[in-house]
Amino acid sequence: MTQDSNPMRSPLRLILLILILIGIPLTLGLYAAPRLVPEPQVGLIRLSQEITASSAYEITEQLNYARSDPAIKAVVLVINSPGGSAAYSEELYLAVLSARSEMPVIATIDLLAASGAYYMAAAADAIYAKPTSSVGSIGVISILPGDVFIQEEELTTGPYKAFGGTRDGYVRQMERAKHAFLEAIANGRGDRLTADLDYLSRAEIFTGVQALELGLVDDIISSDDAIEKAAKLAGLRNYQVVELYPLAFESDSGGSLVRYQPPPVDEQRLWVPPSNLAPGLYYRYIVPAER
Amino acid sequence: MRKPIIYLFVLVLLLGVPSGIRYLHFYGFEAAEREAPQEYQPANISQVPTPAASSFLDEPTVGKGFVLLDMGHRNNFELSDIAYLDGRLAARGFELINYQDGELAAALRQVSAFVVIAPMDPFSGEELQTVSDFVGRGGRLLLLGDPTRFNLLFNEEDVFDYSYTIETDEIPLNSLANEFDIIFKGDYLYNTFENEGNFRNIILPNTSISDHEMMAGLEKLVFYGAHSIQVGSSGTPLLTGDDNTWSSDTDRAGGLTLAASSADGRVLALGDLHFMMEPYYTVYDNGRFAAAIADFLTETADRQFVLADFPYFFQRDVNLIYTGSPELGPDAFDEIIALQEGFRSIGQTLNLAAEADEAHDTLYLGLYNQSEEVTKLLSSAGISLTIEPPLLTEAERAEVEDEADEPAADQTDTAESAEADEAVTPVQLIESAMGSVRMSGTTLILLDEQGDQRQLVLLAASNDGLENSIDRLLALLSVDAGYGLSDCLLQGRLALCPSDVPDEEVEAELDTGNAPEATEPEATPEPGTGDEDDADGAIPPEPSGDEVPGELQGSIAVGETIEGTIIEGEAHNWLFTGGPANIDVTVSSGEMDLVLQLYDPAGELMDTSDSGFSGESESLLGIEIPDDGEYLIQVRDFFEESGGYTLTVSAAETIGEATGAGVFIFADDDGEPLSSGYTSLEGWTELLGSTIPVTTWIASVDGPLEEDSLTGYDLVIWDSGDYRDESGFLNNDTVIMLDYLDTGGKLIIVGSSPTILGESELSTLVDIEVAGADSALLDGFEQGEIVELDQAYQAVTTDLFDPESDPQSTLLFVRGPDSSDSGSVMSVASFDESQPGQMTIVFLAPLSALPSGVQSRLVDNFMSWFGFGGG
Repeated sequence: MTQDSNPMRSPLRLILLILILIGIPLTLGLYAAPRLVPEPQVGLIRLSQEITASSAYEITEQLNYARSDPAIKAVVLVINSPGGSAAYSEELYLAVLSARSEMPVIATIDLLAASGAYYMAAAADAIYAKPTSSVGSIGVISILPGDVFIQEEELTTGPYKAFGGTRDGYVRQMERAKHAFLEAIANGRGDRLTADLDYLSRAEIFTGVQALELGLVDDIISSDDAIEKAAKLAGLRNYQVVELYPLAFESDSGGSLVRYQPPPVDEQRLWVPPSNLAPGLYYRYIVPAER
Repeated sequence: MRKPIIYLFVLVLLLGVPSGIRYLHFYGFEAAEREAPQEYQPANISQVPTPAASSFLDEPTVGKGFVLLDMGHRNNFELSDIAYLDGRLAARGFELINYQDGELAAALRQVSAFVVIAPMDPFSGEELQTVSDFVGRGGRLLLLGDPTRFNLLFNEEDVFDYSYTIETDEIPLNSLANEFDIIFKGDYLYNTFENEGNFRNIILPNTSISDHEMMAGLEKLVFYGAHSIQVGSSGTPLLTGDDNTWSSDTDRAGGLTLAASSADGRVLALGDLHFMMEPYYTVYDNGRFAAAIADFLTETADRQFVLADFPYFFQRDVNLIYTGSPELGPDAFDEIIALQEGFRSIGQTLNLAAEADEAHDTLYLGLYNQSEEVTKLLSSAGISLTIEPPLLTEAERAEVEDEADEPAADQTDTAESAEADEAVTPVQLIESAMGSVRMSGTTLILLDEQGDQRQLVLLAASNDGLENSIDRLLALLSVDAGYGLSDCLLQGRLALCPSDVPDEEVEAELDTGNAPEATEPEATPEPGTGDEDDADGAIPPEPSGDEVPGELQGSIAVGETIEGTIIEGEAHNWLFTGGPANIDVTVSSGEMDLVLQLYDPAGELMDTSDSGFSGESESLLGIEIPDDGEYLIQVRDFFEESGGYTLTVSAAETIGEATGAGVFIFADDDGEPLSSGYTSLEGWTELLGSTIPVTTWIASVDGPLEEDSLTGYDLVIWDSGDYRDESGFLNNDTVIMLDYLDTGGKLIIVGSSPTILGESELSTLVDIEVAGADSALLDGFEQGEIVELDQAYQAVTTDLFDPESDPQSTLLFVRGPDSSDSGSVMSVASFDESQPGQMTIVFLAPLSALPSGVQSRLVDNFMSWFGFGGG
């Protein structure tokens, strides 16, 4: 016969045991849960100026951040831009495509997504606009190089070393870039694009409603709804909307997240043509002359 | 064994529940499906090909001529833009010359075509008419627009205003094109479906090219940025875009014209300039098209010339032939040299020849009475010359006299016959489609064109008339010359011009020897020798003596107008006794060729007017009637035809020929005398004679000029004699003179130290040297001739007048070898192209310092130059 002398059997000890056996794992579970299942976030990336080396860097850094942060489940590109440098526009297109391979990327157009800005948007899963947003201007603009010449004192090893090429060759490069642009749009939009590429090559600026008819955008909705669409695309029920700019940049410098407010869109600056167009190809909309 | 498993399960459950609950809170069970993008492969975009260079070889027909390029309407292009076209023109022997300003009509005279590229200023109504006339006479017009040629216009008053407007070639081009039923649109064309490297580079395959003759051989063209052209019902589209070619204006496609020609094929309108620029002319058939345009511009088969196109209608070397083969003297040599120089200056050759030949064009000069060589040319133009009784040359008269001497018995008959001839009213007429015109006072100019050969006939009644007419031709030589035939009766290729020789007589033969001056005493001329009219202004033989032929009709007073009717052969005389007075007498008739004459109480002819043609009025203006004697005003018809007339006698306006108020002489004698203190007023009035109305103003008597003192005068002579006033431009008279000049006035500034030159340096002047070679202004002078003054003068020297650097100035005299500053300019003549009619002669010495013969010659020349036909 055994004697029930196990101290564990005392009620107090039993309670303690239960607390230890349940409470500790539960506490551990509660502690680990936010780390194991962080609150998903929809990151906002704002393009509120023309596309330059600087603005392109900022966008790609934010996209990289989104891809590296497991909490970021979707990205919404909020676009107010006339486009800009062709190469940087293409850089953004490719960066968005990469991000899109990992998470939903949605583009929402406020005022203007012209040329290179639309080029970037075309890589997104979906593009949304407002009824009177300005969308389009699909094409290339550049200043033709001057006539070629040779100098007595300046020697080059190739006939076009000093110039880069012929005027005629440059025209054809531009035309090829235009075709690549159109091809990128066709790729990004897929079957949703209903407009003929030749028609788009007229490089018109369309309103949001026209753009919807042409398949350049997917719907006319607000930016909040666009965020909702992004969350839905990411399968999120509850999520946090975060500005990615301070996460990507200001956290490094110890800035306060609370204080960050996205800078207001400078409408005037969006429409003002550049004082001079540096050599190179541009996917940019330039306001026509006053007549 | 089971318990640990359960414990472990519970443990895991307890650990995982919070995360699971959290996950369920944040995530749905299923994410929305996303479409994967297609693979992006920009490298697969193929290179836009460059068309192969054309192998076109231009094989033009070489000719000779000019094409005028408009540069006078702020044309927005560079000459390098049309270098290829210029080369194609040069290959055809044609030179491209620029038109920047001046009279367009004059510039168009010598060219086969006019090219207008992207003008920014519209054409005026006058220019439009000129170009229209040019095209109407077979000239070609090329209008080139280009949508890339525009100007941005900024608000210059506000440097911070960056807005601008765009100035295009549309309206300026259409100011000309619309005349030919062609309208340039302000658009640009594009084709996004099939283009040559860019939407604006329109490919034009053979289906876009019309079968017009000019487009033969063209298979494919490309226009690099083009306007569309709207062609009216009379025009012909030459290039038409396909259904994928759109207009930026209408944003509609199809049926857009890029090149067109007018109904007569003489106007070509192109919407693009680039296709003929380097390197685009090498694409497809663009180079061939540029060559076809060069052919179009150099086509002269339709080109019809008019007389005003002299001498540019001559396409070959020109033979100069004096009709009647006269013995040529120094005057003729002057003419020939002047003409040769003029021809040479425009790249043509003029050679003196005895006979015409088919290898050359011909310029005939001569008198009506010696025009046998051109009778055929005249009659083919429907012109006949009638000189009855015949005028005999000296040789012919000698022959007649010889014959008359032989049969003595016939002497009486011959004398009677001569008397009878004298009694017959001479008939000396030019009969043409314009009717009958008197030879006297009239120069005939006829252009004849037979195939490639062009012949110009210039006939005058007298040597003086011929000289004046040659001056008229010389004035036409300059490319910038205004029409020198504006005062002529022009009909087709015939012009009847005033000879500018008062009371000109029809001469029997051309005497180009050292013609005696009008002022020189002359041996009694023998009728028919041709010498009798060498004195300018000689009164023609008219009935004189106490008995004035004609029927007295009554009297007429100042302010009266009387109507009368002349019966065939009648002459009406009207008595005027209202003197002393200064009167104007005018008679007009709808149909008669009137002759108006005034006889003094002694029956002597005082003055006559017979300068107009049939239907024109005749006037005697500014006639001074010195007393209250019986003066007769006679009215008759030159051909003794009948008709009604209206005769008016009125108080003379200040003075005035039909063209204005005559000559104003300002004796500027209120300065400091440099020697004895005098002006040449008296000399001027004497030399100008009675044929030109003269008003005088003496500064020391009449005071300074008033603002309107010079208004309306044809010529102002500002004679400061040997007075000097150093106030220069501050002087009131100078201001008024300059104002007068600004209105297109004609001015002679003469004197040792003209007021306008202010404080200019003085030096001794004792002689002057003829330094110029102007055939009109220095007629009768020889280059290098020295003229001594009557004394030594202190006269200004100035370097203001430098004919070498001023193309509008003509050098006349320099200071003579014995004067200080020998060789410096002391007399020039100049005109201002920007002020039509403005002509000035400066002579830095008193007129009276010259020998009287020189004064007379000089004043004659000056007055002729100013258009007064001699002093």
